[in-house]
Amino acid sequence: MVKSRVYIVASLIAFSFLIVIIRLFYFQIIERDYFLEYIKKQYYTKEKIILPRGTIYDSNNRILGISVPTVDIFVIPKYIKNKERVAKELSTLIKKPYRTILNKLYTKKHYVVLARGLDKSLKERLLTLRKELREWNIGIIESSKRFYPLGSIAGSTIGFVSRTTGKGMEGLELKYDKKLGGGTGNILVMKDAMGNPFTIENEENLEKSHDIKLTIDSNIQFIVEDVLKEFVKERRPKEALILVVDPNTGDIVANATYPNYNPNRYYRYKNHKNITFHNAYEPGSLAKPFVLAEAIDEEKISFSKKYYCGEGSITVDGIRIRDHKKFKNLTADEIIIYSSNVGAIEIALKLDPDRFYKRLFSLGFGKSTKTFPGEASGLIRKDKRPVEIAYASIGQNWTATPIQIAMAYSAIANGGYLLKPNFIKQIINKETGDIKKPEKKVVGKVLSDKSVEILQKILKQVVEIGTAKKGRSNYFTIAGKTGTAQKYDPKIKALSDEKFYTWFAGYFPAENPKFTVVIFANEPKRIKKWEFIGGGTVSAPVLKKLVDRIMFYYKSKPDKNGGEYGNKNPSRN
Amino acid sequence: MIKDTVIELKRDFIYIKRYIKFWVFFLCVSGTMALYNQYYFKVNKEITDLTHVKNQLTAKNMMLKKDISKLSSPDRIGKIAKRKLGMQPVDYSKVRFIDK
Repeated sequence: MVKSRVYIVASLIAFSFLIVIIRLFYFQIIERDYFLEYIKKQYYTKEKIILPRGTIYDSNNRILGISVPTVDIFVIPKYIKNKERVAKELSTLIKKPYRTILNKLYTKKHYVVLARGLDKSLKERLLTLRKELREWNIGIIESSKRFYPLGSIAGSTIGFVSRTTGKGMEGLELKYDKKLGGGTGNILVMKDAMGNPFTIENEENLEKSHDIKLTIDSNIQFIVEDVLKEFVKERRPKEALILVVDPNTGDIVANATYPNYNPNRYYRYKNHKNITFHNAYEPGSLAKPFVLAEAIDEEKISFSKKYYCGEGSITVDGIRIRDHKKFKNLTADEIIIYSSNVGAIEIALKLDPDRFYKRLFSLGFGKSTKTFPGEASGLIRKDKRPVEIAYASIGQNWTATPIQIAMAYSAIANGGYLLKPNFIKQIINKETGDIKKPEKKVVGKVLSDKSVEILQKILKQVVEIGTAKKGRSNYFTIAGKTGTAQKYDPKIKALSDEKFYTWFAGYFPAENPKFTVVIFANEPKRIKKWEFIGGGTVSAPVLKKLVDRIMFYYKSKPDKNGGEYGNKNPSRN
Repeated sequence: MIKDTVIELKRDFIYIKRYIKFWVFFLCVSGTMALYNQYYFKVNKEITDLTHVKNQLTAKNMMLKKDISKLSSPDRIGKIAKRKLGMQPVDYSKVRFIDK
């Protein structure tokens, strides 16, 4: 009797367990996917968020671009019970007009975003408000917003990140998009009974991001932009730029462009170009030192002889090419110092056309440096007709980007080596703290020691007594060359006498070059009616203001007159 | 009648007593599992809370870094120097370098 009762109870218990096991088998194995989906809908929420990217620093560790944590608020309007109260409470909290919020709450859309990019510190208060109002259809999503604390400083160089995709769209943000990480990702969040996110269950597409330290010095960048702003105000050009590069490493120290934009409000600007990289222009007389370098290497020039530079023009293949002055007789160095077109053409016509074009290509012209996204390569047509050689020697029928000009002039400054331009000082792994420093990339030796020595002497004279004398500094030695290129005017189907590109390219201090500088303007306007527009009158004067300010920032002692100025105080002596 | 039932129950109990080790083991395992579960959820909750605090602090740190950069912007400092303090760009003629 006893035994049978125990068996009955035991069988009942066993049977109950069996039912539970069968039921569990049904839930866990047979209908697993269905119930997983069911639970996910009830307790989990998949949220698409903009992921934070790596931070961009300048060379002094000042932040140029940072991802700031934010929150976005959205609602499902049809389920909001008391729209007026929600609008009123949210309006005071997120500081948005009551009417705007209310109108959004009355829209017939299924899903409405009330605010994006709010300060994350508001999240707690928003959650409390939602709890108080018992409006569970107000959604709060954590996100991030790219912020550029220095505003438009170096804007066109840094570029920007899309507000919706979180991906780099322009400039260095685009170039180093993979390294900086970011983009959008999905987070599977488990909610508690009140609908508040409880724990992160799964993270998808969350790429590792790196911080990037640039070679740009925001203080120099500011000085350069300040000088450029003044220049633009005075000359009202269509486009202008000042580029500062370290000729010994190829590091880009500052790059100020006009037009520029504030990446915080990139969507308000139509033009996001960085003309230093995206556009190519005719370099004008900036090409002449390279013609001379080739002539030196081909031994087709004598510095003791005077060359007849005509009566202000030269005719090649029946085409008359004008000079800006009647120079008559000039020595080879004077041809560069006073920038004689006829003299440069006379030299160029003696050169082997193949070697001449090879020289231009070897200096980096005609191909992109691949430093910036969407970079132009410039155009050189290898046309060996004398008239084409003549025009090429005065920089008139070929184009170069300002960065190519800067690197070619850096080669003169650093002893003849063409370097690859560089923006990156360090790439920092945020997790491990590992630092990667890119090495200096030497493309090749492109100028002989002899030609470098001669060009360095001549380019110093250009600034002291030649076409760039308006840019001469009282305290520092500068070497460089001015350039003026006539623009093609489609209206008259010829080169315009009114529209020019004006250039200055050079380096300072001339004795121990620390910076290469390129100053460019597209169609600068005359200040006085009779004024001659050219690199010497327009671009060179900018140099004077720039050099003293930059060198003072580095607390550099003047190198002119043996540093004499630095130790004297004229106001006291 | 009652006496018979008591005797019968006693016999049942003696029979059940034979399996007492099994029941104790079963209860111990269940209890341990329940305790472990509670502990697991407690630790998990703590991790979530700490992660939340960490995120909050990281966010604050980011905001402060952003503010520092904004306040130390050369543009802003330049404006203060020029407009409020009446400073002017340096003129090298007024600079004296002291050589050591």
